[in-house]
Amino acid sequence: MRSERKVNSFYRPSAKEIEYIMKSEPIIKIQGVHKWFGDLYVLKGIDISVNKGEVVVICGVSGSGKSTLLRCINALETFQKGSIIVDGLSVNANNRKFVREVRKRVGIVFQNFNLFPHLNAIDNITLAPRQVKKVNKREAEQQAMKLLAQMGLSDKKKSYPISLSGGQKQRVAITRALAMDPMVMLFDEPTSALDPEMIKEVLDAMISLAQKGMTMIVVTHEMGFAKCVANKIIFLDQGVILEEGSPQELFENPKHKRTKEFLNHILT
Amino acid sequence: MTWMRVLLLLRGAVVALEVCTLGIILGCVLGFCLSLMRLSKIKTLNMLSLIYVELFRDSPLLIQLFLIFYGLPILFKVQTSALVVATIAMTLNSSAYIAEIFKSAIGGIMKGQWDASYSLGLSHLQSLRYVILPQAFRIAIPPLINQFVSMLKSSSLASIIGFVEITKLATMIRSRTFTTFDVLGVTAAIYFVMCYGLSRLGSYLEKRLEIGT
Repeated sequence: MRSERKVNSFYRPSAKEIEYIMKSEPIIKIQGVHKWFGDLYVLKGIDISVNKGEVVVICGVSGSGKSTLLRCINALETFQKGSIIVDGLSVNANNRKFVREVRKRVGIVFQNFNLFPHLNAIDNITLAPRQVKKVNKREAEQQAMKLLAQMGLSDKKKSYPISLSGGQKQRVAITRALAMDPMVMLFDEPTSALDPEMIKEVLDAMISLAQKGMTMIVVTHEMGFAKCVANKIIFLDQGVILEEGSPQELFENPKHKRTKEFLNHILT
Repeated sequence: MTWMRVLLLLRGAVVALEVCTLGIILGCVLGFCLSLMRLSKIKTLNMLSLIYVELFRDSPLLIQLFLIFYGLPILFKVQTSALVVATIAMTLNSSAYIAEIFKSAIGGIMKGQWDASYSLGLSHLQSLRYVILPQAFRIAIPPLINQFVSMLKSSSLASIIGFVEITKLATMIRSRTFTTFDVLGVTAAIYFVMCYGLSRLGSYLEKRLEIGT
C-alpha cells in the first residue's frame, strides 16, 4: 500500500506515454448534441467519437440531420445542447477565436463545391493559407501545385471554376481544404451533385486520402466507398443514431427495420 | 443655331458629365459605407443607414438641391458656388441608391460562398474582402451604370439653382435667340447620345463580366 502511494505521487508520464495518450484520445468527440430550428427538432442527442486516422461514414434519408451534424462540427451551424470537442477545443459559436482555431483544423468539402468563381484554381487553393496562415505567395503556390499534382490537376491551375467539369471542381475543392493542412476532413455529400461518370474520380481521390491516414467524416450514400474504407458506419434517422458499426456488421446484419429498408433502397 | 452655340452646349454637356462622374464616385464611397452599415449586426448603424437611404430616396432631388443651396449658408455660414452644391446634392442623393445597389449585390452572393470561406478559417472581414466583395462589385456594375445614366438626366435640375451646365446654357441661348425647338432639340440629342452610349457600355460590361465569372 505504502509503496503504491509513493509511486503515484511521484509519477510523471514520459513524453512517449503522453504521445500515446494523445493518440488514443478521440480527435473529435460529440456528446449529447441537440439542435432545433424553432419547432423543427433536427438532432436529438448525438454521441460520436472519432479517433485519429478513422474514416466514419454517416448515412440516412434526407432530412435525417446528417448534413446539419457535419456543419455543427466546424461551427457553420450552432447547436443548443451538448458539446463538440475538436482536438481539445470546444466548438462554441460564441467564442470566435475558438471557432477559427477549429476551422483551421477541420476542412470541409461541400455538395455544391462552393469554389470561389472569381478566382482561378490556384488562387482558390492559396487564398486561405496566405490570408489565414500568412504563408508567403511562393510557398503557398508550391504547396498548392504539389497537392494539385497528387489530384492529377496540374494542368488546371490557371482554370476558373466555370471551365472545370463537376469532378474537377470537386477535386479542386478537396485540394483547397487540404491546403490548410487539416487534421480532419468533413465531406458533405461530395458526389451527390456530380454526373455519374465523374463520381469515380472524386471517390478515388477520397479513398487515396483515407489510405494516407486522414481522419474523415463522410456523409454519403456511396456504399461502395463505405465498404472500401470506412471503419465505422453510422445510420442516422430523424435526428438520432439508429445504428452504428463496422461496414460488415451493418451491411450483413442490420438490426433495425429502418436500416434494412434504407440499405435495400440504396444498394439496389 | 450656329456652330458656336452647339459647341457651347457640348461644353455644358462636359460640365454635366464631370459633376456626375464626381458625384457617382463620391456616391459610391458613401453608398458602400452605408451598405456595410446596413448589413452589419449593430442595430444603431443599421437604423441610421436605413433612415438616410429612405430620406434621400423618398424626397425629390429638386427639393434636396434647394435645401442644400439655401441651407448651407444659413446653417453653416458657408457661401459656395452652384457647382459645389450640385456635386454635394448628387453625391448624397446617389449614395442612397448606390447603397441599395451594393446591399442587394452583397445579398445576392450565395450563402455557400460564405460557408466556404468561413470553413477555411477566414474571418468575417477577410471573407468580405477576398470572397464576397470581388463578386458583388461585378454584379453591381450594370446597375451602377444605370444609376449614372439617371443621374446625368436629373443633373439638368441643377440648372435651376444657377449651375451652368448644358440645360442652363440651353435656356440661356433660348431666351437670347427665341429659338425654342432647335436649341432644345440639340440639347435633347446631346443628352440622348451620352445616355445611350453609357447604356450600351453597361450592357457590354454586363456581358463581359458574366463570362469572366
